[in-house]
Amino acid sequence: MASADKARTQTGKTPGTEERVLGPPNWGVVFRNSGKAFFLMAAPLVGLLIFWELLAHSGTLHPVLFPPLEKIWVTMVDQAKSGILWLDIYVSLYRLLVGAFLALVSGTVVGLVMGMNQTVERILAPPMYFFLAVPGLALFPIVILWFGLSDFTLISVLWFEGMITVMVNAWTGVKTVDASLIRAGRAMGAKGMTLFFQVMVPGALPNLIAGYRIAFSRAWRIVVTGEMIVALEAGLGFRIFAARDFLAADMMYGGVVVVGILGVIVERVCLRSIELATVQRWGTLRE
Amino acid sequence: MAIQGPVKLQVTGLDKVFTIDEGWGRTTDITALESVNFEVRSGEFISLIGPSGCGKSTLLMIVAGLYEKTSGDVVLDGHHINDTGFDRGVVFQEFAVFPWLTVAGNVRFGMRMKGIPKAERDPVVDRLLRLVELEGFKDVYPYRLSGGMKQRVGIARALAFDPEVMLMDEPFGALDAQTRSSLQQLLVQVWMETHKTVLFVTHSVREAAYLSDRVLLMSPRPGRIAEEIKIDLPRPRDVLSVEFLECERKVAETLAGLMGQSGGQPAWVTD
Ligand SMILES: Nc1ncnc2c1ncn2[C@@H]1O[C@H](COP(=O)(O)OP(=O)(O)O)[C@@H](O)[C@H]1O
Ligand SMILES: [Mg+2]
Repeated sequence: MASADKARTQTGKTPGTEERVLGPPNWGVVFRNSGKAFFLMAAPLVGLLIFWELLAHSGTLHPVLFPPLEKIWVTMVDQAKSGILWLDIYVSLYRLLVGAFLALVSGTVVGLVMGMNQTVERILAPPMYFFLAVPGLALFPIVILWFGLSDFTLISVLWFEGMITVMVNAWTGVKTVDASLIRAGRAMGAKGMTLFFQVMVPGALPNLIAGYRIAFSRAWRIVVTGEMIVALEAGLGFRIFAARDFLAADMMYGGVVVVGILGVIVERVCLRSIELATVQRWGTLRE
Repeated sequence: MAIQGPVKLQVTGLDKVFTIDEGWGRTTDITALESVNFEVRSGEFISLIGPSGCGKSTLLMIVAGLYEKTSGDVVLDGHHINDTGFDRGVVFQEFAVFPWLTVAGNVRFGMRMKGIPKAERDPVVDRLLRLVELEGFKDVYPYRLSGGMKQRVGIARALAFDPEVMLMDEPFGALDAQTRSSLQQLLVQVWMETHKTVLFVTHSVREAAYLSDRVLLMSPRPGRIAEEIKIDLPRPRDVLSVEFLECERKVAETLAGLMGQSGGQPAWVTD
């Protein structure tokens, strides 16, 4: 007790309570760090492209199967100029966003309720585990029987798969909220719905967001592969698959690259920003 | 500094049996508390001390209304306690500060639940953060705080809706010795300023002797209140004074006796 006494009398305060004063941003460090991050991100990709280019020009591989980058680029530029690329992107993103939106909303609601109510949990957990084990793609033939070759079919499968994923995570999220936080909430007068929205939901959020991320990436896979199965008029997956009729490998490669880039952008823009605004700010997530 | 207010909290014949599900249709009953009786007067600072597992937390949680009791009665200001309520503020060993709320947000939480209007909350937040020496940390999220600072948020938060009784479950048990003693001093200050009735759980003899008007000693499981020791020393207490050391020794020896140890230095004294 004596040493703490001393610390208190010296500063007049308990040690460690001084507010930090932040100076202006250190642009040098920011610049260097983001430069480093960009290099780390870009270097492996650039390496891969160079490797590809060398391979394509080496003459050992069939040029139709392994077209050089400039050929892929020209094909994609053509597609962009004719508007087909933009149409494909629009159609695929539309399907993704509608399906994923429905999945997030319904999965969140059902999963949270499951976490709160034991009866609902007992009823829904077994089918949830069952469908978790069924790949969404396996449902396509059945759903095509019901709804035909339509956007509706694709979006239904997308919604269902996404919903199951989000559900599991929302449910786990509620179940794993720290018991002492719940006790604290109750001790401060939170009950029923208030406890649910003020404690359980924010407590479940790290898991919930992890679920959104997985659901989004699964949904994007289903959109692209689903477009190959359901054979609609447009979409990135449709275009890649259709290209096989013309042996147009450049179009396939180009399509795959666009799919990858879009997937990354969606993940970074939509999900990362939710994360930054919540769990990252609270320090409950470690990058 | 003997406080002689009216009886605030009265616990009579309190039993608690946990039934543990062992699987395959088997259960085990654990009697955590057996016929616990005590009363706390208004403004008193009472410590509950006893060996680990003797039911201190269980007792506190029942008084908080967070656990159900098996039988017996808990009466606070004439009301029978069966549920949580704004007349009791709880401070947890695990801090249990909400990571998704800022320091001020945590302190505001209980007031929001109680329905205190927005305009009245902010002055209270400012006053309490000053009281626990966290003025500059209003808008900081808890992950940036040290354990001691988190627990100060815990204390401010429990005081915010102005409860009659503070229930503290080994609030400084997870802190290092230095932080613990500075928080003990802070708690004495807070207690002298707010005149709250405090029920404080600890397993540290020194802490109990330093803080309390009375120390209630619990027996090993099943927990009962076995002894009671009055600490009649003025505050703030000098932990190196002969009078204090005498009190501390008395608590330590009584406790050792309860645990069936006799002679020698009881393990508690060094805590
Ligand atoms: N939720 C619970 N379920 C079953 N047993 C419990 C539970 N909480 C406490 N116990 C048991 O009750 C006894 C008293 O525990 P506790 O009140 O935590 O002791 P203390 O706080 O004094 O260390 C212990 O034997 C513990 O195992
Ligand atoms: Mg305990």
